Amino acid sequence: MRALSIGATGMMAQQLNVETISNNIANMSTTGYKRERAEFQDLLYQQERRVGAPTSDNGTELPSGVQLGLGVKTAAISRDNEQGPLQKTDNKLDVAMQGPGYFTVQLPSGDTAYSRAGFFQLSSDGTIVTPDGYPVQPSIVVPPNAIDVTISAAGEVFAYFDGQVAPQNLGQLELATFINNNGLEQIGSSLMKETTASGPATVGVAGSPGFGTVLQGYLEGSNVNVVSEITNLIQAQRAYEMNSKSIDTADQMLQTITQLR
Amino acid sequence: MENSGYLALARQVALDHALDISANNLANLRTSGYKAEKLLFEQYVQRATSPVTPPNEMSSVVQVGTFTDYRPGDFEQTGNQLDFAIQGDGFFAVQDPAGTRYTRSGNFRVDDTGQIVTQDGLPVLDAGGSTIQLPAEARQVTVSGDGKVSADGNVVGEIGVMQFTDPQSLVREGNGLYSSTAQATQATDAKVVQGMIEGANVQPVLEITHMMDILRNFQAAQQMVDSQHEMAIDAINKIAKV
Repeated sequence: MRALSIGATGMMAQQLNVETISNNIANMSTTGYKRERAEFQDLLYQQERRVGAPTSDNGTELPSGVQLGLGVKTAAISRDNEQGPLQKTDNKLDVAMQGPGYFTVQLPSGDTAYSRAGFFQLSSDGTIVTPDGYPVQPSIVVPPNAIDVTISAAGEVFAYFDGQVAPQNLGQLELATFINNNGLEQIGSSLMKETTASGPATVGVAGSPGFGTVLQGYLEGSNVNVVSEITNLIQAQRAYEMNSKSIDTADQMLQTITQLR
Repeated sequence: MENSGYLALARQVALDHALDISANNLANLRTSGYKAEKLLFEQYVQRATSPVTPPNEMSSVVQVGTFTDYRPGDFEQTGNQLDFAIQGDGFFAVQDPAGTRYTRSGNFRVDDTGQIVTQDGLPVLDAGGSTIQLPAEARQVTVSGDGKVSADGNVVGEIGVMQFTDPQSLVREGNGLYSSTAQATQATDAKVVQGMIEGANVQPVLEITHMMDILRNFQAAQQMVDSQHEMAIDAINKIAKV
């Protein structure tokens, strides 16, 4: 009775689907979050009668075989890197990425992480850091006597001082792009790490070819579309129920067999 | 066992298979590009061994084959520029280590070298069998209806859409792939649609009612075995009394 295990693979797949969808909904207002989608594939097939097998010495062959599928499996959970909506915050250190590119962040371990979430803050010594306190690369220190900070579209950070007309250039935010954004590994806290699948980071600055621009005073919202997530959730739930129905049918058939005298 | 017992057994084995196929279709309800599998039955007529006139014929059920329902699935908009669906008959060609394979599931990605690949990392091929390479700095990938891939306005390749004269001859390999010994030709009336994926074409209502039908038939066959068994017991008892 393969139907039991086939139904089970279907239920497991839909459970994962619901989990992915609920994670999207949970992150519907997470800055820089990119929605994810579970991708499924059919499992192996048992070829009980192989199509095209000869049926006589005269060259006749089977026009269709018996191919029994064994269920479904999860192929991948892929990320949809569509641009999220820009939300105005008026915070001086909030920066949104428009177009491709990731902010680079140095982890305490010394590794580099990448993020789309540009909600930066100042540490006690004036360094621009993420909300977790990890320094944004390259290390940019805002002097304590600066009265204002502006960030240009190219990611250059300027500080204004009392009695000084021209702003002082403190440094330029470093951005990274990847040939395969989907290959980045999520490590939580809106951070991602490079993998062999993502390819090496191409480091550059905002506005150069292949890179987006930076917008001060805005944040990139989550690109989760709640309406489509809810409809997906309904579909996933129904698919789950239908798979339980095939288990139920197999169970009843087994019950019939056990009543055999 | 009497013949009726064998007939019921053949019926039950066939129904067991039918349930497996329905269960597999339902398990793949949300698998992109999945095509429903259907089972074909055939009567197998066998002459009973006893030489009676007129000849006593039995008809037993055998499964002759499964066939694939190639009707299109619903298109679902994803907005992802590397998601593709085929409108019309045809398959995407991908390069598997074991040879060229075909798939309807167009949820492609780029790999670390910039090649367009499937979720399993198999390179997608054009009609001539070459892979499609996107330039590293490509930002906007657009694909026209005939499969031409442009990166920022420059044509960089073409996604091949292939067709077969007899798609039923394709062998399902799992992972959404099909293999064929027949030669594929470039599809003539198929169109590539970007930003959409084709959902499974499984009809849940049909599958669920089919499963109910299978269950009832299975129980009916069981009834047949039971009554035959009772007849046998009855016969033994009665003969013993004589």
